[in-house]
Amino acid sequence: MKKIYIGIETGTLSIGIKNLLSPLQEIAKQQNYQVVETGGFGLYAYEPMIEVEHNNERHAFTKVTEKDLQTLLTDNKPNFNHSCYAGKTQDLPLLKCQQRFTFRRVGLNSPTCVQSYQQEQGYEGLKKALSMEPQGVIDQIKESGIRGRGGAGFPTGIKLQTVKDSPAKQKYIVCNADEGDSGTFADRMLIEGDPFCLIEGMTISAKAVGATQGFVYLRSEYPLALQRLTQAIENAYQVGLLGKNILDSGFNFDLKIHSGAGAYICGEETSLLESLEGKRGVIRFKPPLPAIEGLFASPTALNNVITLATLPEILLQGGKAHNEIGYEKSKGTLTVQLAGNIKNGGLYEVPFGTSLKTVLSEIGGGTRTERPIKAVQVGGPLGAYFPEELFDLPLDYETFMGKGGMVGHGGVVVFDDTVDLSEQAKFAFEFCAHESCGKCTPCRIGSTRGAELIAKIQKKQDLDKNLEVVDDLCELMEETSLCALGGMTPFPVKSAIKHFPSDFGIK
Amino acid sequence: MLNIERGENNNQFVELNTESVSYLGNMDYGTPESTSDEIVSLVIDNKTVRTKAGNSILRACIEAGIHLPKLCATDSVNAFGSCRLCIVTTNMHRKPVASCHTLVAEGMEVVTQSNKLAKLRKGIMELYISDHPLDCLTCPANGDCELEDMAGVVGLREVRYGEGENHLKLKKDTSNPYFTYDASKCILCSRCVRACDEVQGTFALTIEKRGFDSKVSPSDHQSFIDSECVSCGACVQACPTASLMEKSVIEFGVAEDKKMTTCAYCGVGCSFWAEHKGEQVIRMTPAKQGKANEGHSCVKGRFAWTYATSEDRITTPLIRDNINDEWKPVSWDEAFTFAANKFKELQKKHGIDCIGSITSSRCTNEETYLIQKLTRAAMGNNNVDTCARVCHSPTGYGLKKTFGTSAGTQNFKSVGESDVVMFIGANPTDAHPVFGSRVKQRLRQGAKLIVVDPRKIDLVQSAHIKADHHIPLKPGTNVAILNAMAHVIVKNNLQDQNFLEERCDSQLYQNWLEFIKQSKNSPEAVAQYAQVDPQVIYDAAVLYATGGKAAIYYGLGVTEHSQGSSTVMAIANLAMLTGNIGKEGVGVNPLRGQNNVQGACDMGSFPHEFPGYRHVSDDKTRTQLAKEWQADLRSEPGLRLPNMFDAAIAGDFKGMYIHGEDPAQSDPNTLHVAEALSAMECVIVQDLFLNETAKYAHVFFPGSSFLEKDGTFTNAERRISRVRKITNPLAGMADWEVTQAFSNALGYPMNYSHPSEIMDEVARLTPTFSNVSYQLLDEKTSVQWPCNDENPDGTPLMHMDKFVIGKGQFMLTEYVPTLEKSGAKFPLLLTTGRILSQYNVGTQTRRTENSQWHNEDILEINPTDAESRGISDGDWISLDSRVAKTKLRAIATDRIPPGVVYTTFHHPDSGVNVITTELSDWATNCPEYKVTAVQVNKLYESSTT
Amino acid sequence: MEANKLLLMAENICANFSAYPEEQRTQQTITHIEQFWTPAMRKDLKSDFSTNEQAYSPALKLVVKKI
Repeated sequence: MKKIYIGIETGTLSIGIKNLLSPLQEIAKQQNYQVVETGGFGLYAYEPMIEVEHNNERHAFTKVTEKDLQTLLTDNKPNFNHSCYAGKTQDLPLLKCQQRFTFRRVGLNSPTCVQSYQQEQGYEGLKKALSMEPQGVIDQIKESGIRGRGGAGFPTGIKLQTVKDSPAKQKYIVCNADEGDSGTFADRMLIEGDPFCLIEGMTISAKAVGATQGFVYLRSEYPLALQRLTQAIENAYQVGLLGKNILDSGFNFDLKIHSGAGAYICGEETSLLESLEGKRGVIRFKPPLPAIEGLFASPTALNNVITLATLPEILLQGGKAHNEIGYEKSKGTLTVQLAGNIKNGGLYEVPFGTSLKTVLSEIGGGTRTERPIKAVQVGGPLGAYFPEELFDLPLDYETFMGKGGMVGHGGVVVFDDTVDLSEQAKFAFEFCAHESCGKCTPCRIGSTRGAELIAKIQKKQDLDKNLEVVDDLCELMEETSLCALGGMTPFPVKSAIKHFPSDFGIK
Repeated sequence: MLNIERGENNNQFVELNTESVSYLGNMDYGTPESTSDEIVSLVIDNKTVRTKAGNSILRACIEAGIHLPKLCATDSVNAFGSCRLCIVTTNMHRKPVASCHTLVAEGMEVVTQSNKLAKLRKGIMELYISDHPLDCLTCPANGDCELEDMAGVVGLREVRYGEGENHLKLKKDTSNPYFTYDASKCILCSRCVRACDEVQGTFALTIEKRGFDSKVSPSDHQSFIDSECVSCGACVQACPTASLMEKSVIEFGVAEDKKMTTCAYCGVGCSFWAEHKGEQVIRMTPAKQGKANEGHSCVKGRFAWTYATSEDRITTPLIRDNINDEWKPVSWDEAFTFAANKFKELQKKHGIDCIGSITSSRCTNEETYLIQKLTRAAMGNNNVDTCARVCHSPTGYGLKKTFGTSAGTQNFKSVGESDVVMFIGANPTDAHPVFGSRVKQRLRQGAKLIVVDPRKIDLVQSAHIKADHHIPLKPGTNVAILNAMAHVIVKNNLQDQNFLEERCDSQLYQNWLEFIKQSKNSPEAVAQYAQVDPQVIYDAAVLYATGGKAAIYYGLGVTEHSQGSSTVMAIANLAMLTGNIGKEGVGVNPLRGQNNVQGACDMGSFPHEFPGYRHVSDDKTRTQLAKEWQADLRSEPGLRLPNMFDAAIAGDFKGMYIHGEDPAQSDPNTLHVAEALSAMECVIVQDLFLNETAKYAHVFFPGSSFLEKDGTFTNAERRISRVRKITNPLAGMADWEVTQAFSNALGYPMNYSHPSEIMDEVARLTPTFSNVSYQLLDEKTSVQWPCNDENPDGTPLMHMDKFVIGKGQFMLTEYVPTLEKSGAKFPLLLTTGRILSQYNVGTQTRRTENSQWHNEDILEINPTDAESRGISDGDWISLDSRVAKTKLRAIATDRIPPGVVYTTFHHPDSGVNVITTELSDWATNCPEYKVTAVQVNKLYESSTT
Repeated sequence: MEANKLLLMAENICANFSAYPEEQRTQQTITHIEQFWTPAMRKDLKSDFSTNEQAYSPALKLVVKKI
């Protein structure tokens, strides 16, 4: 039967795509089409989007309303004259500009269907990994040059090597799916859209390091992701892709999901481990590194969703293929999550090295309000605010660090010229105060004091003195905080003051 | 007063003056010492420093005399990383690192002071102080506040944050009787939480909420008194500010002086600093230098010392002719004369053997020595006994017979090396809490645990602790269970053949082997009447034999039985069988209940032994003592305490000099004791209060508490520690002075000017004590006997190359069931025990705030037994034995198996010993407190009045 | 001391040496009594034995005869 595709994920659900579902089912039934709920592409400029299969090609209809549905199909085929018709899916401009290495299957098929996954080369990567020695798998990953996609950018191959080289009775694979950065949703889209990819990636890394147990720490605020991942894991167990003797290789791997409980700090790896162990999500000092002493004091490979979900493709195509994409030391692609005041918000997987400007104007289309972009925050709430002068930078870890910012998990939040950066600086402190675990003094007390100081500065109280105190406080938090929450809160604050001094009343 | 010099390795040591105590070990090194043997060399502030690998940079600095500011680090708990004050810069790190949780590395170069570090440290303090009350001058921690010290050290001059959110209005929690929690002064260093976790092991504290709203929370947001807190004081000790503070300091201020002394409660014998202002004790803080406790304490020693100044302390000697008369206050001289005359008359009329003495663990070693000397030299007989009679006398007998020494084989620290620990008849978390915490530390590290106890004691399951095997045996079947374990080991060839051949008497072992192999000693046979699953016995035996270094700890649940001595010997047999003797982590460890019961035994307060466990028939010893004491000494044994009572009832025993013991409450079969005491004509009681026994006394010598005298106590580790006088005796004479004066009144001269002279005499006359002196104790804080030329530094581990007796002696321990059987009339078996907050018969603890936790003895009864009797929690019940009956309130709990009931004996009105029997250990007459056949019936309204 | 008491104690001691062969058992019981009982107690026991022998177990009889 021919298929109609509709992307059901949290983003599209939030714009009411559910209302289209039953009328669509009706129409599809009448016209002999089967409705397939996919994970969506994450292109909110197009959503609600419906694709209709015709001659083995997918044809896209964008910004569809319930009324539009009535005339979507004619004579059991797509209505190419419909006002919503936008051409073949593969030709959509916002898709064509991407290089979907990790997200290759997201949006294509039913996320929890094993067969469709396997039809799209799913589990080919694992098969290769299972046929190699563990060191061989790690060597491929090292060759790929992939770096941790959660934000720290640590070379994944080295981390896995450390875990492999640490002798222990039990080792663990942990997936950090606590995507807490405001404005980010790549992890969510991957899990909602292609959960088997994550499962496969975790299984590959388990094989590489010698782990037999895995956990996905999934934030509680992602109920649909939880539902889909749970189903996918169940299905994987049923067909022998999890559990004992996977693909007849003799390799065992068990996987469980653990829900978070609403703390941003549990996206930090040591707090995550504490939470996973059933304790308060409080930072552990490092060393010891989790790779050596992690979950239950055992060697643990803890990685972000995107990092793990990229492993199947790396094993499939070979590390070299991944290494050839990218820019200098940032290899592969970045799943940019473009949000805020932007016309074409969504998820765009582009090679590292793509300039921020390209993302903002060519892809993003400028602000939704059509006013000039005043500032862009890249890398989540702890990222720097960049002014226009810095938009021309290539998206690359080292380049952004050099300018006092960070690439992080790839979140890009856009602000037009109505934004007051002093409010943003205050928000940075407030966010830190709200999410602080409370263990170390600079963050626990400093974040609250920082917000108070900015408020005083906004009221022009002792401006010079308070600015100096903010500066000292920023230095203190950067140099002495126990983790990156306190340690990087000064990034947005300092960048706001540096690049937008007039918002603070500085002449 | 104190001269501080640097030694060769930059270790600080303190020159001693004649009166002072070693202050070594008062330093806080920030983090615990690494156990590595490897040494690392690094450079700190251009100085080369060597320290153990695995130590933190902070510790390495302090060891080298380089001080760093710190707040959240303290060396009783692991590093945490909260305050960030201890930051340093190194050549191996990009940013400053916290030196408390950064380990040393070979070749590291550390800088501890720089402008940058100074600025950052000031910044940290500025944040702390921006949320802290500024009432330092009137704060109870004034003079004793680490936050204050650090603010001074970093040079904080202003706090630039101005008005802002704070915690200043948080309410105080004053629910605990001994300390206050003031959240407004808390700096969230979490030292309290960590101390409760890592040191005490109760895990009662946590931090609730997060970030700026973080707050220390007892249990589930409860007040301290309602939470799981056991009031050990570790959190108060750890707190660097006034947040957790003793109420006594709040009320009276910080002490001005301190002396180290030893706790007068249990057999752990914790060292404490008695902090005082003149004669007023302000608080007792556990001393890190104490080898038994290493800086930890329990609620009793830490807080429950105010009984010493209780209103009902007697401060004047009292006499009366008849126990029904009123007491007459008299002078000391009158009292001595009255007592001495009475005793002399009695001996004239009824013979030399009609009087005797009882010492107790409340006596120091010196006092006990004097009393046994008085009895032998002044009274002229061997009728002297001690409280050990009713608790660990089987230990004395059993371990002497098997190993040659009437004492435990290890020190407490040894448990840190154990792979397997077995507790039989002991409940350390209640009765030896500080040792219990040590055990739990080791268990949390992975050591395995076997518990043999009818009751599900806390060790069976509590926070992070779970026994691998619990054998809930029927009371009275200890020997059978131990024999069964040995049987399993032998049958499965798990014994340590090398040890047996080298270290044990082969003939005795062979005889024993034949005996133990008999099928009646198999788990299957034993299980039937011991009411346990034979598989558990089997598994426990295999674990003990093959689990690595295995140690056995036992208490009164072993000794207070009709086969107490046999049980001790069976334990010794097990240890010898598996080679678990003579090294760290193993051994046979009697948990002596009291602070100086070991000492009382060592000092020869026995009818059959002189000081040093030498039998009275030993001619050589007796001759030497007779010469030194200038008196004729008897070679035949005298009367034991229970036999004194029997003899009193028979009309042959007429007078008793009792120091610090309360047999009318603590001995079994109270009515019998009362009858015996009433039959006597001169009972002399020397005690702090008019206790139950004083009701039958004719003379009362007011005693002195441990705060009022100099002397020594010996704990369960054979460790002799100093007791130091803080205040003058309330009644004007220290206990030893009283005994001395009484002896003089009896006509036997004693002339000591200081207890050290008494110890010198003990050392002269007792080979195992020959190097002990007060000077040695001042230098070393404590020493474990034997302490002589062979072992000048004392003996932590015994029987290392050979047993004191030579080759270890296997004794045949046939299971002989007790005559006390349950039946139709008395279908349940009563066993007794202790609770943390009260001590023994409660004389001391009932006179403190500890009664808030346990102000009555409660009967624990299994829910099925309760149900069939219609008993609900809190109901009054009648507890009847064939001897007598009493009444208590009951609680239904599955901590106790069906058929067994349990209670504590801390309150005289519960009359628990009224119903215990006259049965006792065959070898020592230690009473069988732990098995009494009883019936329990619900009491209805009318019958409780 | 009361004869019943002494008898009970003596029987108890004897019973706890019952695993040993007869001669050792007797000797060990005697040694124990001599080490720990007062002369008066031993005297009272012997005196009771002379009038109350039938109440004594066979093993204990051997012991008392030799004290």
